[in-house]
Amino acid sequence: MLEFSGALNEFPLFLQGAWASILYAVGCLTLGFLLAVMICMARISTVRIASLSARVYINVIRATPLLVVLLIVFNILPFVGVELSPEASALLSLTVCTAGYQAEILRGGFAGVSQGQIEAGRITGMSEWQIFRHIKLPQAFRLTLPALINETTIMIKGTSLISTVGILELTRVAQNVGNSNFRPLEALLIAAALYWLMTTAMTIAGDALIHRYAREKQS
Amino acid sequence: MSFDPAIITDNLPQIVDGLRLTILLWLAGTITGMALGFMLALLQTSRLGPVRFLVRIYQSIFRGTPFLVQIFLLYYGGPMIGLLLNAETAGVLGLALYSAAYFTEIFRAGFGAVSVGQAEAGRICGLSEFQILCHIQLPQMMVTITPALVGMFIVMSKETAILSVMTVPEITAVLSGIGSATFTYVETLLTLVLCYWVLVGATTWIGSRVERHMQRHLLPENGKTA
Amino acid sequence: MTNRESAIEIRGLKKSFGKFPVLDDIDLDIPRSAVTCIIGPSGSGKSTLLRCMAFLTDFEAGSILIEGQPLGFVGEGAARRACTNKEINAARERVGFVFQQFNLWPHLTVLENVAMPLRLVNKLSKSEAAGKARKALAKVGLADHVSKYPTFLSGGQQQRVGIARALAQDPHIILFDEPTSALDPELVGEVLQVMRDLAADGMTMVVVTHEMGFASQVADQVVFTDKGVIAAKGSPAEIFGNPDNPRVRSFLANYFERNTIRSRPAGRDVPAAAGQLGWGMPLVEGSGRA
Repeated sequence: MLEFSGALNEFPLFLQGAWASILYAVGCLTLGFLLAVMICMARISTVRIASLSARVYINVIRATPLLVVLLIVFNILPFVGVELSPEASALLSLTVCTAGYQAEILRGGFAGVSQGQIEAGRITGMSEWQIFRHIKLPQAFRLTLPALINETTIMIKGTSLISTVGILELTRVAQNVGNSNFRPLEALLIAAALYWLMTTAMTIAGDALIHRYAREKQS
Repeated sequence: MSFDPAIITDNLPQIVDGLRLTILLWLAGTITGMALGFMLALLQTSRLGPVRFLVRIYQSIFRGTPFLVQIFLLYYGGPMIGLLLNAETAGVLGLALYSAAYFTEIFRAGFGAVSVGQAEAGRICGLSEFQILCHIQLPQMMVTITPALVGMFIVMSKETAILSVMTVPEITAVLSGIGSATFTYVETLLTLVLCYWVLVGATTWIGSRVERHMQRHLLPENGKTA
Repeated sequence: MTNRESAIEIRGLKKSFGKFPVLDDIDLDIPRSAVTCIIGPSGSGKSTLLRCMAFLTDFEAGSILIEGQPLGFVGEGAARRACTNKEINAARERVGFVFQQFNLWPHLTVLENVAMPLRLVNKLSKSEAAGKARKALAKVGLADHVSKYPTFLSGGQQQRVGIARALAQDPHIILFDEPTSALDPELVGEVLQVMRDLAADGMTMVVVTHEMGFASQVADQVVFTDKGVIAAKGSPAEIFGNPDNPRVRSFLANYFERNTIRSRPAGRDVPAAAGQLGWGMPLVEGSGRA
């Protein structure tokens, strides 16, 4: 039956793997958010070509599995002369993927900011950039917080896919440990438990954040 | 950068088989997952606290861990506890177990969206609880949850790509295999993107038709006297 | 009333929500082929009482007999047990219920709303069910609207579909839970008219209502509930005429205060149509304002 002692001897490796997963998740979500803001601005802009390109980007990314994005970044980019380290390629793949989803989430958020608030900003003499930075963006962020937190847990889980291109993170650690001591089940269960802790902690923290915003709104 | 369409046309039978397998695994896994999710949502309406708690635990585990790890557990870890599955079966089972956790949540929200009075009206007419479920609650919650169900089908169509990792010869495995063997990544991977794009596009289109059908009682043309 | 056997017989009915008693030892007989109106302030338990009569709400103690058939629970004291679903349905079969919020099924057409229970419960064929449903819908004046979906009907029309749905299953008793409270004032009249017609046909009806005009004109028995008990009971003349009960007095005074057009003192010189629309006034001959 289950025999965890072998895998648990390597527990520090698992923690290192989990830490790497967290770094990739935080990195891709942050970079992805910045990219998503730009894509979203393009998508809702009145410049047709910008809006159209953003739309194509969002639709293609949302229809493409992350694994396929990884295959493309690792195999086609070197082919066209872009040489990146495996780590950078992995981060890039995760980032372009989550950016497409976050852009669509933010678009929904911006649509939820009422025209009256924007007009109120204009009346007080704020520039378009100031209105965007101080009125639209913070509100869209609040409105989309639940969806963004959901995206965060999706990407924490998504980082497991970069194990397939040889990046050493939690899933890869579990596979390595499982292969070396011939007990893959235990190693994978430990990895699963750590993923569960990460996503559950994220969900709990996210709910607390949403509640705090909701309370602020009331008071 | 060159583009040689011959690499696609030469391997067309293999590619078609891969796409066919993707669609088969996707539909088998997701439809099973939807049925399982529906049953779990029914269990969640139970009055027994422990039953509801177990369903919550199930959801938390399968939503809180990566699909890739779940698949590895089934395929590589399963044999250690006597669970010997071939890759396709493990794939379908994995897709079903994973999606069921999300479908449960969708159906739970659906039950919540149908007012208590709707069921009461059925009860007073003498309908059995099963008839109330089939003829009143289910058709009505479909109106609100169809978009979420379609969204889940789209998510799952992309998750099937992960099955390539455990040697299932579905479309991602086939095309990336051809790509690495012949060093024609541009042709094969762009074709791969196109395949998923068509799959997702078709699902979206069918989904919007289903949604329209579910909402027929809210459409103005049905308000006319016939 | 000369009915020897009551349509509904309620004895010692008790119901509470948590610690708060909603119904406290209610005894009530609903006579056959007569209209019983239940009035009283909101929160007095009148809707709960009605819902108990259809076992949409369960209760802690007491018994309810529908034409002699126990509903909800059988036996007394230690021998008391919950009815099986079969027993509940056997008693419910005789009862129709009309909801305040109509509770029509929005995904079904008007015809299907009425025909579905006939098919599923009464096991009629599709065409028999449709025929019977059409007849019930014609009775409430909706023969022209059968193929519409409920969303496209006015509130008054929706409630008439609700009545047709209850009527189609040939109940011996119909319970109405504030059938006009969710309606715009101009739509109340059409629903009350259908109910008047039913009363004239001799249907046994129990109506929880705020329409004092309807109650005073149509009811054979008026029940006034207050704080979970039946505070007063009698003919409309007794209740609306010159009630001895101070609670009834103040309730009615308050009601007429709110529902009387200011320039026209209630009870005098009100146009006939106002009665149908539910504008309050004492309508029983010889009765004056309390």
